[in-house]
Amino acid sequence: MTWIIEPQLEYKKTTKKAMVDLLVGGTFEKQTNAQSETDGYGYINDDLINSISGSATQTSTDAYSDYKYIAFFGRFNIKWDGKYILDVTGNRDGSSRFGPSKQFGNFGSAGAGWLFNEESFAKDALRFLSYGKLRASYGITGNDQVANYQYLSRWAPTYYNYGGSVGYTPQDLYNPDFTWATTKKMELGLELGFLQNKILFSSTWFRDRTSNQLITYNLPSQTGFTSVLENWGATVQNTGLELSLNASVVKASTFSWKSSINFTFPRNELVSFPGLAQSSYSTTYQIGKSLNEIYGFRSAGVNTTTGLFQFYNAAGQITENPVSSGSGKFNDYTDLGNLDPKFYGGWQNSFQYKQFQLDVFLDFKRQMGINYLGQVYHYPPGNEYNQPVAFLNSWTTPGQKTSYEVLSSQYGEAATEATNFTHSSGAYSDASYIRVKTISLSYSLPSGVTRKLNIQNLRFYITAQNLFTITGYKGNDPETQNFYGIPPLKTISCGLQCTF
Amino acid sequence: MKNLLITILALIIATSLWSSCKKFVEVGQPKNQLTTEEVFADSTDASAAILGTYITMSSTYLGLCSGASTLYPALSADELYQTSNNTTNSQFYADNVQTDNGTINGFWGAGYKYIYAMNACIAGVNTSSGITVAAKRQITAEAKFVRAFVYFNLYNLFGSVPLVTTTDYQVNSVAPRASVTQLFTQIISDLQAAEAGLGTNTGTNDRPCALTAAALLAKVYLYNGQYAQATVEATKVISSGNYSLQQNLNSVFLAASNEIIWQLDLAGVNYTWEGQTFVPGSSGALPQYVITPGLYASFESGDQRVADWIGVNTVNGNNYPFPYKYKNNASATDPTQNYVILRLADQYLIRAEAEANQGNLADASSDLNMIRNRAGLLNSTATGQASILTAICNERRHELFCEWGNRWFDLRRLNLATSVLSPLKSGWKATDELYPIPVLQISADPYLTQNLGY
Repeated sequence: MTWIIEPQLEYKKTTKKAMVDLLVGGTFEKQTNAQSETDGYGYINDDLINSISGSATQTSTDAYSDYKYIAFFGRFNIKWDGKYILDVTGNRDGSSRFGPSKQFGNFGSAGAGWLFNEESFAKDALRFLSYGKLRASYGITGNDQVANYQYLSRWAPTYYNYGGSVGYTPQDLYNPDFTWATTKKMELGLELGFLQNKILFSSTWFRDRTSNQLITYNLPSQTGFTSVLENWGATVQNTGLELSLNASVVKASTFSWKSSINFTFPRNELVSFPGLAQSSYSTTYQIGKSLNEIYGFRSAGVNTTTGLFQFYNAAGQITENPVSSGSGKFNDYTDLGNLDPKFYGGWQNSFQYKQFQLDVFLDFKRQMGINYLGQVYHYPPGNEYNQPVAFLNSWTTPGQKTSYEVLSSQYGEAATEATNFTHSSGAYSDASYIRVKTISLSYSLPSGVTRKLNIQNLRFYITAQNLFTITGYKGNDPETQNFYGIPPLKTISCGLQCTF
Repeated sequence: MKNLLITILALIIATSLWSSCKKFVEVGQPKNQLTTEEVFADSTDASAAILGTYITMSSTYLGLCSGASTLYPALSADELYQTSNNTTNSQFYADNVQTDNGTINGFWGAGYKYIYAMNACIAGVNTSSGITVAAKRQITAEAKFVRAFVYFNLYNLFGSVPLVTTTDYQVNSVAPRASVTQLFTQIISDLQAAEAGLGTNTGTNDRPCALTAAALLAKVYLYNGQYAQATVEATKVISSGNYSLQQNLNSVFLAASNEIIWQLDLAGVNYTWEGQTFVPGSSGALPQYVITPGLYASFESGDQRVADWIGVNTVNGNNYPFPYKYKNNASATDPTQNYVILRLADQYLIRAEAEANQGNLADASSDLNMIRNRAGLLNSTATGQASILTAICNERRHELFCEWGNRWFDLRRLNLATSVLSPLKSGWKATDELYPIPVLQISADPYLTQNLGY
């Protein structure tokens, strides 16, 4: 059961120069989740199936949780002279997901915009400019997206009993100190319009910094659990540049061409992590690197004498016994790059000629990904699984040069090296692609004909999804990167649409 | 003036709203769970906190205390091989366990989960104001017994492990491996406290009593080479009169068996996960795990244990023997059997080995022959310390086969692993006698070091 009350008070005033908007309000929310379940087993007559007492044995479980949220906020917005915009917000939020004295957090933001094409200097000097806006904002947002009651040290009754008595088991590690996670968001934007907005350009640069993120912090199992909920002391930064260009390239009476393209360049970085070397993440993360950085062995191919995979150790020598990271040391693991996309985007083109319309949408991404070998060697070949045809070239005779190690039905050295291989540079490769996501061609009957037929519109169309992909990826699909899964389906559909 | 009044009124409303807001976000606790303070408010609830761990131990499918400690060490040693093609199990049989093997990580995680619960019980009872001194002593003793039992098993699987005796994760998460001496000192002191604090036998043997602690302590002393102490503890158990060897071998593992010193009740099912795993669904079915020809052939002729504790299925003219100490698979629920953890026969063999090591050969032979005679065999012909010790080791192999990893642990502690296993397992290395520390643990605790050879 959920109820929400959101009282709001708004004040607006417009004068010759200014448009003022003031909003204050609040949120009161309560979510109660109560659940009880009784299962009956051992019915001997179906007619009793709707009665719980007709079953031989019954078991019951229940669950319960309460969530309460309260917020007060204020917002002030002013537009001055049609050129300057200022927007300030502030709020105080309280959540029942945090322990006593940790429930409330203060957040806020400020933003400003300047429509500089309205300025007289722009009207004179930059006549080609039909729209120009510069904006900047900075804000702090809060997040309470964790499960309820985590700040309590809880025990739950067991489902089974022991000699007729119920037992209790601990549910979590006791940490009453976590509170709101906050993200500091900074954004700068520039929007330009040219030639009566026939060409629109927009660019945004953002930087989000999270410094007390609520995470299930990994712990070694010797603590009794594998994680604890806490505000992570590390600072993680996401920056990015988003560019988009919309253009009406041709606009004639019988032919038009509209095109729009966008790019995003994201970057993830661990800015700081006090105590990283002594933490559970000492060999998972490095300062200045992405959180998605891959650490593993540098692959050195297949040994032509033994037929086994070999690797480079930290000293750059070839070895069949590389040492993986652990105990706070990277050992023979090196940075193999990260799986974050370098950039991605889309390109949409629409052509219209008389009654025909053609839409083409391309999707592209530049990234590194796990290749099919990394996935295949995860289940050492020799077990009864389907294997790629390439394995017909697996090593068999001394002196043979190949990329695939010897096959073995024993769980011996070959299996060990296969496991090492899945943690090596050989398991990763370029997974960039350009994909023709959608092509759609349609023809609408001219209005003269439809009117005669007494219908509003009649349209024939043919649409193809995922028609083809340009990629050098080793595997079946660079987007899903799952050798054992189904890649995005290539679908072609055609149809007729009639509107009366 | 009017505006001022409205402002003041709004301020008053806002302030009163604010004070009730703090109340608004209090939710108390979930109705189906308890806080630690409530659990340790009285002895009935505190006792349930210990039972919770027994239930978890017993209800987990092939968990550390419900079959896995039997199955995987039996594959690693010379007791079982598998007929199916399971990668994780193959690693155990080949003695080439990878650091990312999920089963060993399960051993580790389960062990420390039980240890955490016991540490929480010890701490909770200690600070409780609602539990009597006598009850505190009893519950603490039981928790220490379970903690020592789990540490002993983790030691046998992994070697020395981090010693964790608090619930503080900030301390525990950076704990290094304790030395073997530290670990044994803790296990022994916990068991001594348990023996002193636990009551007398309750009859059902599904919760430890003082003699249960003595029995485990005897085993720990033997493993630690403290033979005189092992003899003392085993004698307490043997001469207590509380337990007796079942002459009918088929009765040894029954819930009502007098031979059982400690057993875990089943939770939710009527069969043990071991029985469900080892006993094939029908007499014509291929067993999933088969007793190795070496072990099967090593039984002397006339050994009643072959007839009663080993089942044989014939498939395509070939015989496949399988462990049959537990009789019930998922389709049979009779007879009633629980997880037998400690039993009297082991105590006789512990004392025999301890006596032999102290040179008391007649006492050693007499204990050894108790077990041989019960299995329908004549007295051992071994004479001299070395050959009597060999005979005891051999008897342990036959009495305790496929039971709690006894064979695998014996091979290591008696320095026999390489001589016995290197002819059987290609690629055998001396360091294979310990499982690797799971990679997830090694990477999550920078102070944790890997075992040699991994």
